[in-house]
Amino acid sequence: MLTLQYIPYHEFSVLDLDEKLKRIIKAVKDDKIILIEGRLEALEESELIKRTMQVISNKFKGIEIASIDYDLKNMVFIDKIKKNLANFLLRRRSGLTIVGPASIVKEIRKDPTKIELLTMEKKKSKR
Amino acid sequence: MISSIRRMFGGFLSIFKKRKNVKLGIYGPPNAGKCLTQDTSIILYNGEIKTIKKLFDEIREIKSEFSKCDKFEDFEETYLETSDLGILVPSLDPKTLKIVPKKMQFVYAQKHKGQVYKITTTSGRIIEGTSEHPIIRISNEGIKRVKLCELNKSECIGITANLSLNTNIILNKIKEENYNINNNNNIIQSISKFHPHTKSINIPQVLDGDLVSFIGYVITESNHIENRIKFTNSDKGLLEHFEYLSEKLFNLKTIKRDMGNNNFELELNSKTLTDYLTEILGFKPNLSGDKEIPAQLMGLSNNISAQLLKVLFDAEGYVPENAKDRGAEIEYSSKSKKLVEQVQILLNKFGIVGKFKTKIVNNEEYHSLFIGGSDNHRLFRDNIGFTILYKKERLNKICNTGLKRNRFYLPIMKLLEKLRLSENKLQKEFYLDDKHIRRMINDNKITYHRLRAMALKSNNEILRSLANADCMWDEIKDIEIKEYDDYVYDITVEDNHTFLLSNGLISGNSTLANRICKDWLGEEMSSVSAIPHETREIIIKEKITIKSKGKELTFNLVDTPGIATKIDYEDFIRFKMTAKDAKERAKEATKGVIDAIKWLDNMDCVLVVLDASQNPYSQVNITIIGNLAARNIPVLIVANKIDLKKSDVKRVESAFPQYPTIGISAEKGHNIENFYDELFKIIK
Repeated sequence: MLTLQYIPYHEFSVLDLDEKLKRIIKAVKDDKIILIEGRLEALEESELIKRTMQVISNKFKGIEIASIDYDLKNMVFIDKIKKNLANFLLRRRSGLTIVGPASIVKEIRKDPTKIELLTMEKKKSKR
Repeated sequence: MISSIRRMFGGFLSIFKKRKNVKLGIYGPPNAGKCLTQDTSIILYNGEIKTIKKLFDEIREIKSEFSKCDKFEDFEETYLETSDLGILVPSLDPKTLKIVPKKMQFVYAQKHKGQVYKITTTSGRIIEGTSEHPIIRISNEGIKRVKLCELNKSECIGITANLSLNTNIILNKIKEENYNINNNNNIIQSISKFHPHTKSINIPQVLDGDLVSFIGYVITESNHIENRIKFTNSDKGLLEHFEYLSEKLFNLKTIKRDMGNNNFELELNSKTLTDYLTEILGFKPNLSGDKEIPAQLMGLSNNISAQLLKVLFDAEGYVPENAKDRGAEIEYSSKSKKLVEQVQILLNKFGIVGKFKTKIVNNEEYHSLFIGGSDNHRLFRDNIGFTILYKKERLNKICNTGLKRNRFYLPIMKLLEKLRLSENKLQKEFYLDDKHIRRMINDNKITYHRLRAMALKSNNEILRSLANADCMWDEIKDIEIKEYDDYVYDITVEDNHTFLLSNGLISGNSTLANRICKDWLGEEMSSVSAIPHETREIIIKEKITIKSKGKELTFNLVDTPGIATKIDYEDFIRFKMTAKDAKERAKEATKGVIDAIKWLDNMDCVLVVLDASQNPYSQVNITIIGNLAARNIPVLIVANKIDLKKSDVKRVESAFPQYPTIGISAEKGHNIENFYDELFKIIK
């Protein structure tokens, strides 16, 4: 069964880095796909990769991660200002981050504005 | 899956700031190169044959910057740009299979302690180089560049079949201060302290058939020393011809001596003549083991080349008496290996390809070229021939026996069968008869004789280009792995990236792109092994120097493992690893990724290498670039594989618009100069 867990921004942003990473890794090790409101900082993402590598084992193969945000390039000037203002006031609340266990999520395909999450095909049960 | 991530994000590389006081360009680690051993001789388009070591040393001398350097022996590895010297080499175009002159762009040298591969073919051709050195192979998969270490016995590699070099018929000018010259400039006399009474000689004005024939006699059957040329032979016709040429060309009379056993010696006692031949053609007196044809004679017209070959074979060639002998072969032998190879190169003008053999007689090594096969014999008779009557008759006999001794063949029967089926033809129709086809398919062999006949009656491009190619394919007889501890060398040839060894083997070459992009950007790793996470440790390469357009840059390079978010040991098991090894490798790979991320803090500048044919919006790419931005580290995005149709540099540019992006092809060497320009810009 596929489990999706949504973490709202107000719940996630108050955590420190260590708590954030622990929460993500715990969820993915429990075979859950988590959707986080807002984007992780680049430094947070690289720390997440490091932590993931530290806990990789024969059973836990790692993660798939993707985040998506509005594409500022294609916005008109007024929208860019609105978006930047919102970001400033809401502290990067815009966008979405998806993290899933590599054993379930085969691939996350994305272009700047769209995400497709492909899951693994079910393995045939052994006799 | 992981391998695709590895390819997508080939690793990021750090470049430390400039170091001073490095005198010689060094890049890449020792043993990373694709090089040939130092005695390997290569052919230049001007007819010269040089060992690759000598070529490198001469270019090093020319390049004045090296005169400021310490002794070369102090250096691990270096390269020199040669584009400005205008050196041309004959080079096989792998697409058209034609040999054309191409410019030499770089020469390389590096220390190599370790194994080298010695590949010997059935026709006695040898190439010796590092495991990575590329060579051209034909198989049912088509024509491919492969590494020496990937070759197997019975596979076929490319050798030269047709070759025309280009030299001019104008003779070098003599140094006037060395001679007394008459008013008409056609009679000269050497000025010499030790030989005050040198004879005057007439001097020829152009390099014509007569002069070339005379040189031919001197090369083959002469005692050629500083002040004298002695020609010895038993054939009356040849003796008379030598006498005639000496008088006609130089107005010199020979002294004739009876040496017994029907042998006669003709002596030309003239220091002026030997001096003159040295100056106009670089034709120096040599002992028999070092005899060679002057470079200028290697690229003359077919007509004049045939005259030279005729003299050489008349004097030193052998044709067996018994024409019924299945192994009937025309033989040319000499103590000089270079001379025998030069004879083969001249025969390549007429499409004649022979087999080299070496034998020891009285503790001395002799080298022979054997020309077998009726096709070759007829080409020899129709284009070159003999003057000596008995040799002429024997040649006619072996031409008429119709014996085909097929030394060369193409191992492409599966390929041809596919072609036949795609053309919907019967075997009899496609192969022109249906004899032996089953055997040909079982042996995977088709002869040139049949292929050429098929190509004549076919419009198929593949058949035609294989049949009319300037190369043939020679079976590997032996592969020996040897220990080696010395310098190895290589060159880069523009466009085709191939050059010819003096024995006719076609060698691939290193490209600067190979050397820099592949070594730096992890490309070579992924081609050496398809197993993911081949690089699992940080590799630091120190004192790398690149030179471009007069600028020079020296830095240290940190090659990091590719960054991934997942590692599955089962991926390694698919590459036939044991579970234990796979788990160990996975563990090392995770450590490599952690180290790579830690190293981000130590970088001064980073090249992010992306596959331009893949979606650039990978989270790993975005994460790394985001990290670099947060640390204010300059970034150059290298969009690799622009030679692929699917590649899209603009897509990469638009994914990371805030950073300079340069499209290159590490494999093909496209846009490398601009890559350097960008590199110079970001490392100021």
